[in-house]
Amino acid sequence: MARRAVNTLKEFLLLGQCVPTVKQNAAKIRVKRLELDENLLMYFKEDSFYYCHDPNKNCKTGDIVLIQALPQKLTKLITHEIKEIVYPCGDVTDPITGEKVSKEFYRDDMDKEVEIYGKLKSTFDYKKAPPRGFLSGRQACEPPKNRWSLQLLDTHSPRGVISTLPSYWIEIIDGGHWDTGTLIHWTKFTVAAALVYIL
Amino acid sequence: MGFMKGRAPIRRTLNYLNAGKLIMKDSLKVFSLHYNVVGKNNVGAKEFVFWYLPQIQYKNPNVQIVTLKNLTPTPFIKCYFDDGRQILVDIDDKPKEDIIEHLVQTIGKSKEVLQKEIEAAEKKDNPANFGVGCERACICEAYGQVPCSGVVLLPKFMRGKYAFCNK
Repeated sequence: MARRAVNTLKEFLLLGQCVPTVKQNAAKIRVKRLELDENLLMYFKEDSFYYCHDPNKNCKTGDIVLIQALPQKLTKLITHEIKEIVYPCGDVTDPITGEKVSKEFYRDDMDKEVEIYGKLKSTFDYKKAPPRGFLSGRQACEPPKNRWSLQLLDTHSPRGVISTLPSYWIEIIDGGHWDTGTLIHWTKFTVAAALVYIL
Repeated sequence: MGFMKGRAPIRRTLNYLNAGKLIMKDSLKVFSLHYNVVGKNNVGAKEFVFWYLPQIQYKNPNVQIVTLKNLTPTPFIKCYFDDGRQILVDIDDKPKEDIIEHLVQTIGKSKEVLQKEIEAAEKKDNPANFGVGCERACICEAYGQVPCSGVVLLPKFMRGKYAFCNK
């Protein structure tokens, strides 16, 4: 799929949200724009995805970032670079006051309220919480090896069953803090198995 | 009005869209508006989005307009320019008219600039015009007009040195 050239007028600077991606060298950013429906004369949100250059992997899933078009495309797909992470997921700083916020509450106010009511063991403590993205890349369980070939040997002729190793993996990307209200959960199954029966 | 569906379908008329007051400066690329769904202090912001956002996007098709909900306690507008500048506008408890007025003054093109742009557009629009910025630099380029005196000498009766010296 030939990637069209970057439209400098519309795509030089964009604000988008990081979404999970399989690609390891780039961050995938979803940019929402308003497109005019000519018949209804109404604006509707349209998503477009951009692969961005993020060498240090600062951008985690769910972050709202500012991306800028690269002067020249890095690869066929990577056309932009991450300029600034404006609102990290779960760790938003209100630009007007400079305070840390969580949706419509200031974190300081939440802490005061918790103190008055009494702190439980299960109360979330931002200072003691593990760093964001600590679960990314970790798998839920060990990928089973030779799972398919074991099954086939039992039921079919053992004379010639050739199967390639399937790649089966679950990638659960943890956004870190859940208080943004959106749980970003991504599962992907890839089963690539070539089975040849020789009877 | 066709398709008179939905709340305030007047917003979906060409007349209304063309009547937008806010025409943003060319260097402004991203216009982000943050507001909450509940809360009295957000009423102005919500009305701004309802009434003025279609107009703004229609008049500024190359600007990315983003609305982000329920991120922060108070509503605000953040504008990103291509040279790296950012403008933060606090719209907490402000009515929509105040918001649009403030934006027109800060990030909107001034009336003089707009007037100049209209004039420049007119110049290009009319093919009969000649001069700087037009297709033809001089009227002499048109067939049938007096040719350029630098290329073809004018007849003697038109030239000053002959017209006045014999008197």
